[in-house]
Amino acid sequence: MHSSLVSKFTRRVAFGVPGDQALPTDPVAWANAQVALLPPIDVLEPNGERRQDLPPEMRLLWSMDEVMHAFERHRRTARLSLKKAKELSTKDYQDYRERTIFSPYSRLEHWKEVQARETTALYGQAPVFERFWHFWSNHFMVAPGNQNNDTLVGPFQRSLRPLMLGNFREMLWNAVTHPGMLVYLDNNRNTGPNSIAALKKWTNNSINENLGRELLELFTLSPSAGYTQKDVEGATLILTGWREMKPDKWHKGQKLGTYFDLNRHEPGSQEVLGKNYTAHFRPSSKLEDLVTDLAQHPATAEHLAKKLCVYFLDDTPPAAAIKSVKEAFINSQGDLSTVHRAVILACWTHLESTQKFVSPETWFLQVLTLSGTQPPRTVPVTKNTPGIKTPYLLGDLGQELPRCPQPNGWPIRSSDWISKEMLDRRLRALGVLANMSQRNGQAMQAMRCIVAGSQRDIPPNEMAAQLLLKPEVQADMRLAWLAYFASPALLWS
Amino acid sequence: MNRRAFLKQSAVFASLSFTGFAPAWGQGHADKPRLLVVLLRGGMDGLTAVPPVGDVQYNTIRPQIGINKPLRLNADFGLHPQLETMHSMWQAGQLAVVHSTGFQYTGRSHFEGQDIMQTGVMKPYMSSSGWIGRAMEQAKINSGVAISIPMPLILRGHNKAITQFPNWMPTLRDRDLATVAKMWADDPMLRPYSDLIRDSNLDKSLSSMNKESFQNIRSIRGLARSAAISMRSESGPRVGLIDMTHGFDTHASQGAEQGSHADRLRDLDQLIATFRTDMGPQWGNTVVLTITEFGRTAAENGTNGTDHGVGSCCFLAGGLVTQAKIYSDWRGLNKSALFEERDLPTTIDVSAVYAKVLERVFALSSQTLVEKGVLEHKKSSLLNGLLGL
Repeated sequence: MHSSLVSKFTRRVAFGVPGDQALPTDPVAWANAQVALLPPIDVLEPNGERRQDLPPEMRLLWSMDEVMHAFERHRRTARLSLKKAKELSTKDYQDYRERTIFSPYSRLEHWKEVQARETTALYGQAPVFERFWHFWSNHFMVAPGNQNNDTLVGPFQRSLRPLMLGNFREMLWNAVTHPGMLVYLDNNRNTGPNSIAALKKWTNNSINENLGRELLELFTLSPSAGYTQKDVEGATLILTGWREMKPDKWHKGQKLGTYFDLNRHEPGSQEVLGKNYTAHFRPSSKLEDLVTDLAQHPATAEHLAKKLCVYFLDDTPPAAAIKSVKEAFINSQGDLSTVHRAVILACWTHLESTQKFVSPETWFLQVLTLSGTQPPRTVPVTKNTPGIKTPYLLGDLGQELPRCPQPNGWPIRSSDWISKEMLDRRLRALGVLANMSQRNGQAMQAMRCIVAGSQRDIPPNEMAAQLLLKPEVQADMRLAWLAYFASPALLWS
Repeated sequence: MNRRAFLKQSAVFASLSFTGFAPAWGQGHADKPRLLVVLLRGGMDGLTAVPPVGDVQYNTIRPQIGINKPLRLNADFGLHPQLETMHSMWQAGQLAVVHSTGFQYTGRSHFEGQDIMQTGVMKPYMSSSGWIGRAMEQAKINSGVAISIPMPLILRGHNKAITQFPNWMPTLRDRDLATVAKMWADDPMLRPYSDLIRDSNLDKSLSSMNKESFQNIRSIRGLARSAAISMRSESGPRVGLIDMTHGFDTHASQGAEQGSHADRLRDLDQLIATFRTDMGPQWGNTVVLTITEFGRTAAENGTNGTDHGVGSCCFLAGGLVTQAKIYSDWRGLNKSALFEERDLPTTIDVSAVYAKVLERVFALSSQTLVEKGVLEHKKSSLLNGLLGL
């Protein structure tokens, strides 16, 4: 087997191996080992150590208490700013919002998370694990932009990581009942029309189908399972009352995070997919049962297997690949390590007959990995800090993390990322990154990786392999980066 | 030939042999109508853009943010004072307004609303193609351009549309472009793009813009110029799209004659003004259409702003507009006349307005649009005469 195929596999399931390092001798075992453990995530140095020089506000929030306090502070600041709206001129009001809300919450919160996500992918213990985390944090999308949820986004996404070693049912349960999701999809407003709160007019909130619909459509069954609006309504009613617990004056001393508000919950039993969900003793058990049933439904296994194969293998994955992942899911009762190993094996088995054009983020991480270049530093940040910033560069490439426009996540098909403007930007970004590597004194090292990589990663009959042997190409840094990274062999993985 | 190109060719061949199909519009591509779509994301406040000055309730429900000095349209409606150019178009008979209009969707969610306004399908997330993309495919329009980085949903469903967006990153050199073209020559997915990328890196018409600062190019005027420069050329795209993201969601301090909503309307006015100037004589062949996901609450809220609502207004501007007129079934701003006692109701299905635009620009009849699954809509006799149809 030619080394270009092994190289393709390392880009398929991770971000590649730089040209000056050895490819794994047993690629499948190399990848499997990386989904068997939980690598820590943080803002990392190139040597894999946690960055020590970060100011306190640039550290990730870990405990649910910290997260909910930050969320409440942000909410209070935002509410206070509405009061200011009447006192200040529009210009002063905008400046005030920039200083008190956008800089500390909408920008800082996201940039430190992006920095952690990218440096962990580049310098962490298990890049294969990171690729699967990118899949799951896209499957259960929580993006900023609703109800001041900015501080919940990163903690939600990171909360999925330990669950990747467990069962899908547990991941689904945690995703659906995490305050990040309850706020993002408005379930904190979802109130049963016959609930105590509605009958006594404590709230004018009513049914909100956002989470109920996505639970069936995006997270588990998918529309091809043929459920109806009635099922969406049933799931929505079962979800009534599940809300985030924040440190406000009405709930002093309560455990922060998620709680079940019986007063907002629709009483009685509800039907989903022909099954009645009844609360005999504990109304909150209705959701537990529904999540269990949905996680075990064959349509869920089918949907997830297909989506994983589209994400990792090809827009039209081989039926055999989908079948093997689906069987792994069903036979292991949704054990995600088993499922991940099945995906890895399918990637290896069907390597030659499949091809994937990856998202801008994955491509950006491939380029940095394979050229041994450090990403633009994002912290400490202000809007006016000069220089390239990773989130903005990703935005220029068409994927400004974490601002995913829709709850269905970033596109996973190759065809969604191929357009004239998208390709043009990737080509131009190579020039920008090449120049950056030079400014940082990493140009020589990058060139060594690229020249070595070109002979190893590109099939000898492809033009780029020969181009990069020419001294005049090696002497022109931008051209060399382009010949390597824009070669079809490297653009497809 | 890849599979897709083959299928497309056979499809064209079939329609020629069975129907003796002839293009509906004259010989020269230059005479063919142009469409510029402006997406106003966030929910434009129709009662600020086109205030119903003749409605006695207006000042009562909007004491702080009502528009007191609008530009005059007729006895019942005015135009926001920041929309000066559009007012001059009104006077020239080139601006039409449809008011108290919207989708048959009342969920008031940005996500869902922005999906629906682009897919034209009233259930969110049901379609992966947009109503303009499907219309272009149906009418065999060969080009469209979105001033955007990703391909917006509204233009999907058609593989000839391209995207372009002002880019600060240095252009590729000749030798870079030549290398890319050679490397991609054997790759069926990448090959079609090397020429397009070459054109956009060497584009003479756009290079005249390089003298301006990047900030200017990326400004709303810059985007309008970029669209016009592409669309005015004889072989240029017939459909353009500009995406104004998220400025219209004014829950607080939205202002009146001045303020944040007024700033966005001024942007819209500048966009249309610049586009008209740069289109030159082609303006006579053009219609600009504004699209927003929903309107805002009729009454102001406690923070001098407005919340998510239902009905809004829709602008049509350009040489293809035949009459300065407001198309509306105005039911007044009394609580009982409002949708759920809070929002301007949808009295005209805005999809029917879009259908008129598609009929005028692509010569697709209302019946074809429905039968071919391009765009469902509820016809309204109130729209008779819009765009001369």
